[in-house]
Amino acid sequence: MPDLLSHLIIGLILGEIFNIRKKSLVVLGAIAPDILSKIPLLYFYIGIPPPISFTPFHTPFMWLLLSILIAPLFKHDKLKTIIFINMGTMSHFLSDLTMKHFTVVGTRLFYPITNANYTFNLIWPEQSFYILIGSLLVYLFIRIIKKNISIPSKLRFW
Amino acid sequence: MLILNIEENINVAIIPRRGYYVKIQRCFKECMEMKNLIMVGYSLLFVLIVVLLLFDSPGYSAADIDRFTITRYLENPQKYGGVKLENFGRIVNISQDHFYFDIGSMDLKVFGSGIKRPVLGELVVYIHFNKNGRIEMIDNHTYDYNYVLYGISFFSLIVFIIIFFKEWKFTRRRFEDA
Repeated sequence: MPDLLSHLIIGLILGEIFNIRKKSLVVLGAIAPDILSKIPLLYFYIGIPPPISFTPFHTPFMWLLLSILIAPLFKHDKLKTIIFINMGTMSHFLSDLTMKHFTVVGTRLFYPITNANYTFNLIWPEQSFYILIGSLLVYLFIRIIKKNISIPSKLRFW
Repeated sequence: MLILNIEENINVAIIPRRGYYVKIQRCFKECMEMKNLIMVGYSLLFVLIVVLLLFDSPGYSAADIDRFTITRYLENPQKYGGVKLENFGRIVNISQDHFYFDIGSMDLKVFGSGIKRPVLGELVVYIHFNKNGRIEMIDNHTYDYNYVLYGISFFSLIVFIIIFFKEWKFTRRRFEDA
């Protein structure tokens, strides 16, 4: 999806659903794959070819490795940090699967085992504001419900 | 060498090799070994990430020789032609039967008609790279108002920074609870 805000809100929704205290880790995972993999766009506007491929940054496996690498940067349970970041990245890749393309350009879900791309071919990237509006409504709905209904501490897993 | 010898002598002469001290020393040594192990693990992880990036990049791996790139196609259409690809870019100039398409590193002359300029956005073109060197458009789609989405994305980065620093504060070594 071209807009990061949809990914960010989906990350926040997951954080609310699973009652995660450190929601920023899920959000980090939700937006990070697009930040690193979009570096070629800078080269595109400068007008020079990128020296290396940044597309592996848009794969779940690469983010599993990167999450392990960056987990010590946070003074938090390392396993939880890795799980939260990967929860965010998985939400990112699942929402990217909805994007439409002429060819099978989609997401390399099983990289490096296979370079095959997967997509559900549902909406064109510039129509992603539908997802943005939908996810924003869902997030607000969850926030309103959680404000009115107090959640027992037993259900606060994280 | 001199320092090592002095340390050995001190160990032999002063430190008793029994009791709590030995236990603490052993424990510390194990911890240090573990720390080294962790460092080795992280280094290997970093190397793996770099290798994966390089392996995926054109020109770095042996498996890359026959991979299609537009530069290679333009140099040798006979060898690399016959490929159908989706390309993303901007329109430079539209003529009756062809248009010039900016893909970042170069402008491509693409044959095809019925194309229109996107409104505040880019164009995605489904292209056939023929073996005779002729680049033909099969289909196209305009990403209208894509620049607006880029603007929203920039705004979301600011939102993320606010969310992040509400939960974390940066110390000299790492991020801690805010």
